Amino acid sequence: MNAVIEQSDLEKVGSAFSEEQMLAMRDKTRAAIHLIASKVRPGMVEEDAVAMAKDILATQGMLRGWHDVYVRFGTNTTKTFGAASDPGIVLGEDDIFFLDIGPVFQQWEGDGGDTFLTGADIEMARSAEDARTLFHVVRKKWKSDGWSGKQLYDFAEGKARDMGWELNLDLSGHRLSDFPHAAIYDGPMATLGFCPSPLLWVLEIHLRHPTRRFGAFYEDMLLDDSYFR
Amino acid sequence: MNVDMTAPPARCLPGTETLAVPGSIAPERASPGAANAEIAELQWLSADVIRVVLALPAEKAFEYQPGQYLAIASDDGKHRCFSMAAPPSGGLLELHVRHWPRGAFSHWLAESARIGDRIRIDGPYGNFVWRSQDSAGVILLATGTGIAPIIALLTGTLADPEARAPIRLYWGVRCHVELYRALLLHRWEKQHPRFTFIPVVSRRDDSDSEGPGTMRVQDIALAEIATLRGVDVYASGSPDMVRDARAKFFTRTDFSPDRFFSDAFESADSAAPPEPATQAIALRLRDAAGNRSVPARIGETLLAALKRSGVPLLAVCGGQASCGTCKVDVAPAWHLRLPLASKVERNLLACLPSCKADDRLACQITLTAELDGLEISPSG
Repeated sequence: MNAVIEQSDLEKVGSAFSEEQMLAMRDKTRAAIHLIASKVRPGMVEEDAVAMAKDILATQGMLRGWHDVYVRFGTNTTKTFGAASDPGIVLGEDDIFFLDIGPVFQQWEGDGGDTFLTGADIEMARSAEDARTLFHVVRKKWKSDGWSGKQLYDFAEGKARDMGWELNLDLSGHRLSDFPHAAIYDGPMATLGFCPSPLLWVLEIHLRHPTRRFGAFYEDMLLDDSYFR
Repeated sequence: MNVDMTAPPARCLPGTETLAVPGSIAPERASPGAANAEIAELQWLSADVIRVVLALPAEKAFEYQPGQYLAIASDDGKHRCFSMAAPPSGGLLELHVRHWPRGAFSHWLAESARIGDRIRIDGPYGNFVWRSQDSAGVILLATGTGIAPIIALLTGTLADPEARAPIRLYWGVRCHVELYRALLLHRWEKQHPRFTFIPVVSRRDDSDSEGPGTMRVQDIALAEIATLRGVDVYASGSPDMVRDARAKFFTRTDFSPDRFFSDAFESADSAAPPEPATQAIALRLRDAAGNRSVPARIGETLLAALKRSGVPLLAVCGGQASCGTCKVDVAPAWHLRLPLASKVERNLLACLPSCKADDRLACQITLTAELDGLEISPSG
């Protein structure tokens, strides 16, 4: 009996997998994130923003998702994946929100997240920028050093601490594939003892402020620099 | 409330077989008494496990040994027991609570509890404590949230510079995403060469049920360890695992039964009195295997009932009406008897490929007495 997890087992893909389609899905996902974000306004209740996000995704044929649509306002930005938001949170004038969507379009999965601000709170702005920065720092380590999933998240945790944040290790990466990747592997990237292959994994960075009740989130596929502007 | 506080509460399973360990000592109680603790932290560790940190009043001492548990008194008069997941630390107590769909306490914790809420606790209880200062080796067996006392034990022994015994931890879960402390355990492996962590995932294929050859922590451990002479075994988690592990280890001639220590537990709410017969209904399932009756409970979702009976519905999104993989075909005669689909469900069904008029999402149907006999089939 062997409990060791083989890379080939965890990086299988389905019959519909296509690099071209996965990249196209990535583009659609990121475009949807920014479209939804552009319509979020101070004064909105989070539940209404979620409904608005779903309406937008529906118009693009992406209402179906491998996970629920997350639009998190204010203190709800500290919540981890799967945790219910505190109800009735209203977005403030000087506030923070993030999106995390995992749409399915035809046979392919997308996944992406980003953080946005409504005002000029310096620490909130820094958290959003640092979530993106840390994502790319870790991604570049993946590319240059061939680190394993475990090494990448160990590194990310230390870097986040150096930046003044707490990294939520319960959001520590996952597979993506032709739908559904969960039938192949539904565990975190952070437990992998091998270097994840490009196009098959999503790197997630969820930062929390050590004392204030907000956080920032960024996630995207593990790809080389040429796929990022 | 009339609670006999002279004896420790049964380990959350009143009336269940007591797992007597030969040579076990009486439950230890270092610091008796009840206390009002305050919720200091709430954090989801996985989709259904919550980390709760309780803060005790500064004037209240609560000394315990790693591996012991406390009892939480609820308004319904029940005591629910949870192991401390860390050694004593500045008046803070860390618990890992699994959210059970019909668990009164865990549901309150998941949905309503807030930082600052007060909880009445008592303890500590239990004799599942570290006894391996001079052993030849240690095997730790855990399933699910049974990892909590194991982590408390490990935190203590790995910090002991005098400790030398090699330790192998086998942690069994249903799927990889439930390994919510894997990062910490892998880190300890790197820091402590005498410690090895072996995750054991029971569902290897893409089905939702455990098939032949399902890996059990106790079986893997027994297959990997050449000799059990002088080896201590600690088993924490499901009563089935603990019983099976004890029975199998006791058959080994090189193992001393007095070296087996156990802590068997499950959700306290699953120890509730059996439901009255009127709470159970039966569904009629038609699938490739033919027609069969599927038991179900009033108040649970159709998805929960089908999964419990081994129907392979993926339910990728976890019942959030997002993925559509729990789509079922409802017999026309029953369609009008179901509660109306919400806008969320209707919109999702409309965008699913090959969706039919009689399709519904199993995660969105809550079963009632009126749905006794509901006829459904998995939707292709």
